[in-house]
Amino acid sequence: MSFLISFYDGCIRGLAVLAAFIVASLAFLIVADVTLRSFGFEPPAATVALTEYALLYFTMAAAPWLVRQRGHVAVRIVFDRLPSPTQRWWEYAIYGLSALVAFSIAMIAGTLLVESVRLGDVEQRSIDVPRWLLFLPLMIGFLGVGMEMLRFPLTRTSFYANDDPTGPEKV
Amino acid sequence: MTPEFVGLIIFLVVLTLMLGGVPVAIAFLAANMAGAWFLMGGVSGLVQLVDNSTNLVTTFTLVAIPMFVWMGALLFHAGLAGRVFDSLDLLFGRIPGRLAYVTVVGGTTFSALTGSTMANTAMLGSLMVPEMQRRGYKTALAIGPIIGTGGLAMIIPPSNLAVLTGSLARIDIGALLLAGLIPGLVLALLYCATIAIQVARDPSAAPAYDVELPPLSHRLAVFAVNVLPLGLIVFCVVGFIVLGIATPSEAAAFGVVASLVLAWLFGGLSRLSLTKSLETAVSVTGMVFLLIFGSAAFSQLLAFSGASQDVVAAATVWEAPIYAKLTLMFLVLVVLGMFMDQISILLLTIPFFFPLAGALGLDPVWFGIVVLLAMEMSLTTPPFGLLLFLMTGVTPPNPDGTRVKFQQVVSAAIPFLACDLLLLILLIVFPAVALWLPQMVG
Repeated sequence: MSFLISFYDGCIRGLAVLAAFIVASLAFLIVADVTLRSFGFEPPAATVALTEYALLYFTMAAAPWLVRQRGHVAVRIVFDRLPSPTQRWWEYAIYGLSALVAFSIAMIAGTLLVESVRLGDVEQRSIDVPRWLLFLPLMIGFLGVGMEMLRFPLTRTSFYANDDPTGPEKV
Repeated sequence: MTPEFVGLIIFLVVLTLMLGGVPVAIAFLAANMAGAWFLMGGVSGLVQLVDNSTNLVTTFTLVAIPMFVWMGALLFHAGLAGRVFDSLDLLFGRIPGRLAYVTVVGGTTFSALTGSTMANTAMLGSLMVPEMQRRGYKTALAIGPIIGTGGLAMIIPPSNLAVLTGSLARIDIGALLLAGLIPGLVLALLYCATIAIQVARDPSAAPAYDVELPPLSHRLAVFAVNVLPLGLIVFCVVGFIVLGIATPSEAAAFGVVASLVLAWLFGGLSRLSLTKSLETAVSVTGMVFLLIFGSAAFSQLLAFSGASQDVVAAATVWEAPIYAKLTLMFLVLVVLGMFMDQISILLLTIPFFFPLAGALGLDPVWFGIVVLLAMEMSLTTPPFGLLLFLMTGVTPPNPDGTRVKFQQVVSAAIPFLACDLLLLILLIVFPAVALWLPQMVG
C-alpha cells in the first residue's frame, strides 16, 4: 500500500515537473523560431501548433499538483463565515462535487480517446497529430484532480487550510 | 425551459457555487456540465462539451501568461528587484518623502518587469514598510503608496490580466498591452504628486534624516549598473512588439531569455532561483489556465443559449446615455472586486460587457483599459478591497507596539484611490491617453 501511495505521489510531482519543463522548453522554442525567422531562415512549421498542444499538456499536468498545493482559487467570503460543523459538511460536499465533475470529464475524455484511436481521427493544424493525443492529458489531468480532491477528506487535511506558507501567488 | 432561461440558470449556478467556496474552475466546469446536459441533449451534450474543450487553452496568444509570470518570478528570486530599490534609494538622496517616491518609482519599474499585482504588492510591502516605519514615516505615507503602486502591474505592460482580458474578449492583445503604458505612467506621476502634496502639508509624515550620500557620479553609476540593464527586458517585451519584430507571445519569450541572461550576469542565476521561479510560473499559470478552461466553455454556452445576446439587447434598448451604462458596468466591476478575485470577475463579466461595449460603439482596447483600471480600484476600495486586508495583515506593528488598524489602511488608500478616479476621468475625456500609442504603432 505504501508503495502505491509513494508511486502516486511521485506521479503527481512528476506531472508538475513536466509542466515546469514545458514552460521552460516553450520559451526557448519560441525564441529559436523568431530568431531563425528574423535572420531570414525558414523556421519549423510546427512551432505554433506544438506550442498550442503543449499548453493543453501543461494545464493538465499542473492541475492535480495545484489541488494538492491548494493553488486553485476559491472565493471564501461565505465559506469562512459558516459555523464550524456546517463548514465541515459543506467542505465535504465541495470535495464530492469537485471529484464528481473531474471524474466525469476524465471518463468522457477516456471514452473519446478510445473512440479516436478506433476511428484513427487526426487533428489538423500546421502539423497533424492523432486526436487521441489531445484527450490523453484531459483524462490523466482530471483523474488526478478528482483523486486529489478526495485525498483531502481521506487524509483529514483541508483545501481551505490557512497553514500553507508556500501557497502560490495570484495574478 | 427556454435556452435563455437555461443560460440564466447556469450563470446563477456559477455565481452560487463560487460564493459557496467551490474552487472557481470547478464551479465553471460544474455549471458547464449542467448547461450542456440541458442545452445540448443530455449525455451527448456532455460528450460534445469535452470534445470541444481540447481547443480552449490551445491558443498561441496564451503562452504570454506563463512567460510573463516566469520572467517576474525570476527577477524577484534572482535578487534583481532588490538591486533596483537600493539603486533608486541611493539616487533620490535627501528629498523629503524619499522612501515613498522610491516605492512608487521602484514599484512602477517592477510592474514593467512582472505582470503580477500580488507579487508586486508583497515585494513592496516586505521591502519598504519596515524601512519606512523605522524612519518614522506616518502610516498613511508608508502604506498608501504601496497600495496604489501594487495595482499598477495590472495596467503597465506586461500585464497578465491584460493578456487574459484580450484573449477572452478576443481583442488585439498587443494593442491592449501597449494601451496600458501611458495610463500606467500617468498614474505613477499622479501618485508622486499625491506624495508631494502629503509631505508638503505635513512634513512630519516623512521625517528628514541624515543619510550618507556618495557623490552624484557614484549614485548615477550605481543606477546605470543596476537599473539600466533591466531596460533590456522592457525592450525585449515592449520594444519588440512596437518594432514589429515579434508578437506579444513571442516577445514574452524573449523577455524570459533576457531575464535569464541578466540574472546570470548579476550572479543571481542559481538552481534555487530557477526552481523557485518555475514553481511560481507553474502555480500561477496552472491556476489561470484551468480557469480559462472552465470559463471559455461557459462563455460559449451562454452565447449558445442566447442569454449573452439578450442581456446586450436589453442594455442597448435601455434609453440612457452611454456614459451612464459605462458607469454602471464600472461600478459592477468595482463592487464585484470587493468580494471576488480579479480573474473570476473577468471570466464572469467579459461574455456580457465586451459585446455590450461593442454595441455601444466603445473602442474595445480603450474599454479593456477601463476594465483593468476598475480591477485595480476594486482591490483598494473600502470596505472589502483585498489589498486593504492584505496590508492590514502584513504591516508590522507601529513603533509604539500597536497594530495598524484597518481604518488607518483605508485612510492611507483613499488619496491613491482618488488618483485612479482622476485617471478614469482623463481616459473618458481624452481616450487618446490609452489609444494614442497602439494607434501610432498600428
